[in-house]
Amino acid sequence: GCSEDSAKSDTVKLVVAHNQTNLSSPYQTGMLKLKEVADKSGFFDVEVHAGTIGTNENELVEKLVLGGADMVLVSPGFMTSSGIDEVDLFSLLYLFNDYSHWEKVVDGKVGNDIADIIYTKSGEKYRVAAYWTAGVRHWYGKQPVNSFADVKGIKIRTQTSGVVSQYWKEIGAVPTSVAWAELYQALSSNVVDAAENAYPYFIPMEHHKTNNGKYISETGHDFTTRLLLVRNSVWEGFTNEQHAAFDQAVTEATKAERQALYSEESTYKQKAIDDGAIINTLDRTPFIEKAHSIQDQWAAKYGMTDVLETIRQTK
Amino acid sequence: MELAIITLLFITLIIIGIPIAFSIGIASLVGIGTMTGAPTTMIPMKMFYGLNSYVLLAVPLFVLTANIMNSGQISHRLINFSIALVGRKPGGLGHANVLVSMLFAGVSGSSTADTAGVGKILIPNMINKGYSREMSVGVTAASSTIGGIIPPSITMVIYGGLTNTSVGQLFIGGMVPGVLIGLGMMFVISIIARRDNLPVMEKISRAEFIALSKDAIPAMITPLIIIGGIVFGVFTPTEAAAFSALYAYLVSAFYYKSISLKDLPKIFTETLKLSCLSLFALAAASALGEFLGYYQINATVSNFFSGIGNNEYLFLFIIVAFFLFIGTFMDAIPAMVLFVPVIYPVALTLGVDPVQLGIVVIITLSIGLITPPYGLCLLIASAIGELSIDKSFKAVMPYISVIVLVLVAVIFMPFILLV
Amino acid sequence: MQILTKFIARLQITLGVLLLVIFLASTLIQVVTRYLGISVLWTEEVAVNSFIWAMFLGAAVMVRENKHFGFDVLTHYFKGTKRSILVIFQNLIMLIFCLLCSLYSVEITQAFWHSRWISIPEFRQGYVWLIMPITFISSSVYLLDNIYNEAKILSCFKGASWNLR
Ligand code: NA
Ligand code: NA
Repeated sequence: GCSEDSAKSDTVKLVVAHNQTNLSSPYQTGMLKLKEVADKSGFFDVEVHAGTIGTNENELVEKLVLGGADMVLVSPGFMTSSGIDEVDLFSLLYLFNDYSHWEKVVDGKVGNDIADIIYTKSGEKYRVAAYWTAGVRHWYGKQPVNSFADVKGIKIRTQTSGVVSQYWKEIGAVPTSVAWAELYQALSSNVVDAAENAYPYFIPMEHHKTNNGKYISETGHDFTTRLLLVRNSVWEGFTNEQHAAFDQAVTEATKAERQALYSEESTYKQKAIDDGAIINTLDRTPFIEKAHSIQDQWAAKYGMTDVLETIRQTK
Repeated sequence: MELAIITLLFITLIIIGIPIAFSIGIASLVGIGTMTGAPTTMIPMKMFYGLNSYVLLAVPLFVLTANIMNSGQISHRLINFSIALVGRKPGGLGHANVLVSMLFAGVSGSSTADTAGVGKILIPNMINKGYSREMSVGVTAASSTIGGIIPPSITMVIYGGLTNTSVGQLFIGGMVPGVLIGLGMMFVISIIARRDNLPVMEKISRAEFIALSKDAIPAMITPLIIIGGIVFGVFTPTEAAAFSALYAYLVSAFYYKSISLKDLPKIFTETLKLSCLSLFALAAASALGEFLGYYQINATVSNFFSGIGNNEYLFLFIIVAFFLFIGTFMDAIPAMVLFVPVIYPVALTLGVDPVQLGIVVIITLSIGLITPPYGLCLLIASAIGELSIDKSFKAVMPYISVIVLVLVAVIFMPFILLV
Repeated sequence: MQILTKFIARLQITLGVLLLVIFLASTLIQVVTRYLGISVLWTEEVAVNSFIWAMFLGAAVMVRENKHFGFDVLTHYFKGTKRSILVIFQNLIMLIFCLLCSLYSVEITQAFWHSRWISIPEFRQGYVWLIMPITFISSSVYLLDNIYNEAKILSCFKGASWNLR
């Protein structure tokens, strides 16, 4: 009886963190929304950290486990290093056709199933609160891409994790690792010939103003998924009212993050055009077919064939 | 209030002689443990992540390059070449002193190595040739500050590591200010030379000049490899550092024939022992950054700056004044490690370019190398020249004004940073 | 004790130098393979992890050699007994910090023992984390040794004054 009273009068402090130091990033918009709604409920006191307690995603997940953060936003590639291979599903290229396909999948049964896997495989340390996005990734390089011939032998800066680098290798490119901070210099001086990312990330870094970044080909190979994780011990400590307030805050924050990203995407695309970058679209069919065979292999290896089929059937 | 207690604890630890890295670590531990509610396990974790950055590898690799080159007696060769090149001007040895510092700067990432290596030879030489002690010590100490400004620069790598700024761009940014400082100092020397009628070096024969150039050119190619390599896209800064080390070894072993494979274990051991000191301090500073992050200090500092009008230039001048003061009693790397994490987010919100901020901080802190009470270059030069600290400081004053002028230029004309 | 710490220190330095060579080599390999158009993605992770190990190993040995940056004005100001007491006090404070960090880093290493490398998933991240307990535990041993040695000097002073009487 009395414990419930004290729980009501105490607000729960939540340390929420992402890795972007840029204060106008969609991540920050989403998290500030989370703070606004959660704080207003009177149950929570949310503290948002934009890169201030770590810009490395591995570090953020580890903080979540040790108690240094209560909620973090991370990409699926980093989850696999914690031994949860199934999450790599979201790293597969050409898994989604467009944002509405993506939203249906992550907000539907597949999203729930993956969330269950993460909860179990993390040793019940953390759970997925929501799926956010870092935009759709495109090719940008020293020449436009229309066919496999255009990527042959091209040194592309990309993620070093398994399925992503495998794809670029199989279509003939040479995946290369360069630190994000050095990429502008690397592009302008031919260390690499190309890179791939979403408009809201590479346009602010002015990569499109370099010789090796001015041809943007809308390959749309990756509608990215980001996982908003919450530490289980915190989550389990919530009262019923707190759960309701938390869920509402997460729902509104998720809407705000996605909305912010979608609008940034068109803003930055326009900026690229204004700055003189050359944008082309292409017939993506051969690229998608190549990706599908990698998807099949991957799904067979990790017993995810059914899930993959569900995603492909989702319209 | 709580922050004041932590600051007091930190200062006490420093004064009683606890090494800076440990003082930072302990202050952060106490801060995180008692004030933020975050687990103290974050301390070693953050120290680990502080070093988890590919660009930082450049620090030991540049130290390695300089160590290999130094055991190949590179300073001697650069000095003889510089004297041959500019010795015929009035005040020739002074000019040569500045020139050799600029050349040396292209090989070495730090200034103190320059003062010790060049000063040991040039200060006695200048005094013998009729230069005053003041002049000899002043030029040597002042010009060696260029070491950390003309790339490669260890302080720039550390700044890049602390702020995630491109080290390649910082290197390019340091070139023009570094050369301007050198030329400015030569200008000061030519004024003093005319006033004091300073001696000129005797002419050398063409054959001698060619021999001296042959001796110096392989060493002078090192900065070309590093900067050229970065600008023309052969490699990133860390890779450039690895190649300059390889190049230094090849030149020393096969051209100068000054070192052999046998010498390598000792050179590597010294490199490890020297570079781990800065990097352990950096690791500890990451833990401090963590505490300040949980404490949300950057919000406090940026509130202060928005309170005084969010002015970019005012911000930079306050930064300069602050680091000038800090630099009088602290080395550049610990000073950056402590304060850059605090000012950097504020600079971002004010729209200050991270490269410009880095160059401003690095030039300002290089002045600290020649200001008492604790300025390593000044201390080393005055010891070699057997001149008191206050006379030495008076002697570097005209050159400090050159550095300050270039600093003002960097603040108001950031286009000279070429980035 | 001294023989033991000397042995550990030599082992750490040798290992550190070896790792320095490894990260130099992987960086060179990275450039060469890029120019040959071969995609080698493990070089950076191998280089960074060897670098972390090398630097922390070096840092531990520097604790033994008492070379970390610091202000030693006070230490030089005092002489004899007072100086020894101050040095012991300094080492004690550092020892407490290192012991605490030893505990924390054992905890971290256990928690993330099974994490995997990104470019070489066959490798465990735990092996990399292991450097943290190694650094802090060996530093603690060095500090204990330093305290023990300083205490011996201190007792010599006491002994001297005894003899004078
Ligand atoms: Na330099
Ligand atoms: Na100073």
